[in-house]
Amino acid sequence: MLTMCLLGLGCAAAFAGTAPWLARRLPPRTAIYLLVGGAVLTTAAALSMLAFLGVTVLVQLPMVATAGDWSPSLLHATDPVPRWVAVCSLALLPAALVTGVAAAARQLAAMARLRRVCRDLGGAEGVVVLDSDRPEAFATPAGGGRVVVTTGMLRCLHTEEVRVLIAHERSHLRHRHTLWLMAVQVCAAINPLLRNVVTAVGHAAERWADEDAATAVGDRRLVARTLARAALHVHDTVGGLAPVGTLGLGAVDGAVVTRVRALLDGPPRRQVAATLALVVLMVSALSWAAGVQNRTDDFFDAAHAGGVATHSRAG
Amino acid sequence: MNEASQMSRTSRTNGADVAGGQPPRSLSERRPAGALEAEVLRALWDAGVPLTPTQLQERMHTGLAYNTVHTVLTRLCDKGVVARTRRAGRAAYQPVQAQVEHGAAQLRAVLDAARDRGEVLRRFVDTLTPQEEAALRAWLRESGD
Repeated sequence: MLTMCLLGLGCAAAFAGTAPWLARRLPPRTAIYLLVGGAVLTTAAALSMLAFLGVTVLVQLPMVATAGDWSPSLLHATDPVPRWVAVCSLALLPAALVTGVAAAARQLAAMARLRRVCRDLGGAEGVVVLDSDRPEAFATPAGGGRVVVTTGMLRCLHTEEVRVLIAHERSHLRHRHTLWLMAVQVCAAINPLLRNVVTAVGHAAERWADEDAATAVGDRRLVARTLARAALHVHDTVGGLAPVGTLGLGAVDGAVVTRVRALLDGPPRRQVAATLALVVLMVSALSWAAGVQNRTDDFFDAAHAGGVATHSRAG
Repeated sequence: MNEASQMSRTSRTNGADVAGGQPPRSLSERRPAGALEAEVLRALWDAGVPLTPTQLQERMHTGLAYNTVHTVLTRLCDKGVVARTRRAGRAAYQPVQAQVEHGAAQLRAVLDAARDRGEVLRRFVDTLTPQEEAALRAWLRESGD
């Protein structure tokens, strides 16, 4: 049973480790489904394994054993898990749950604060123009969803580039990217190994919105140019580090450059191998968790049957 | 990256809207036209009623040519920020959305409320590393923008 747990947790860890890397090879929409789905499933698998491990020691408490009509001696004799492992699992489980709930509460609080502020903003057709020199553009789902753009940002973009920006932000709202991100954030609060998966989901959300904008304006190059110009404008106005020697787009790693490069590369293609790898990791984590559950059931059944046998002999 | 430049960056970022006071570091020669768009938009906001290009020209006192004002208005219309209506048989223009009073303060309030939480507020572009900045500038130059 312990081996099964280790294999299950190993799969969950392997998912957390490889998913961000594999997701870069996937079309953004597929990437988000697999990343968030995988994060939720592997977290659930890990939590359930902790619960199954923990319950093996919990049930040996005299009170619980009597209530469930299990034989304490049989339980002890067939205990499939070292006691210290079970105790640790039992302690970890509530800690993990509390962290998860706290993370969810923090996000909901931020959303409530935003909703209050956004109420005062108004906005026609969900687009709010704020008179500020600071170049900003973002989407927030608070209060029915709004795209906020400042005059500072509008000023630096050409007409067709503004269309790109609005199409991009609307895509975030339409496809509820916020919900996906909130879900994966909660998972990462429970399992810190998933931290990089959160970044990957954020990046995939941006790529998804870029692709939607490219479809809306029918020009991938224009979307790439808009990103580059807007990012440089923000950089010039708000400030940044001193530039270094010039490198090609291909040699540089960074969120904006990666998005520009992806747009110039052409529409994303389906990647069967990467998709399959992610699905296999998810499914194996789940099946090991199911295996652990079976073993726990067997353990209880054996102790129970023994108890019943003793009873009938006494009777 | 050295520590001093990192620190100066942080302080400037926190300065939020002081950016407007800085002289614009020119990236594109079209930026002055963009600045004009913001001025026109502000004038329309101040007016509170639809204005014809001639009325706007008078209000702005900047000695702009009629054609310039007309071009800027057309561009703002195309951007979807300004709407064209008719007033006494002439084309008049008004902002699609009424000015949000104290836009800069409102912006800060929104950003503060979100506390930079990426999941509740998706920004259009991330901050650039120096390498990214250089690569993007080079690419824009090459592709002739």
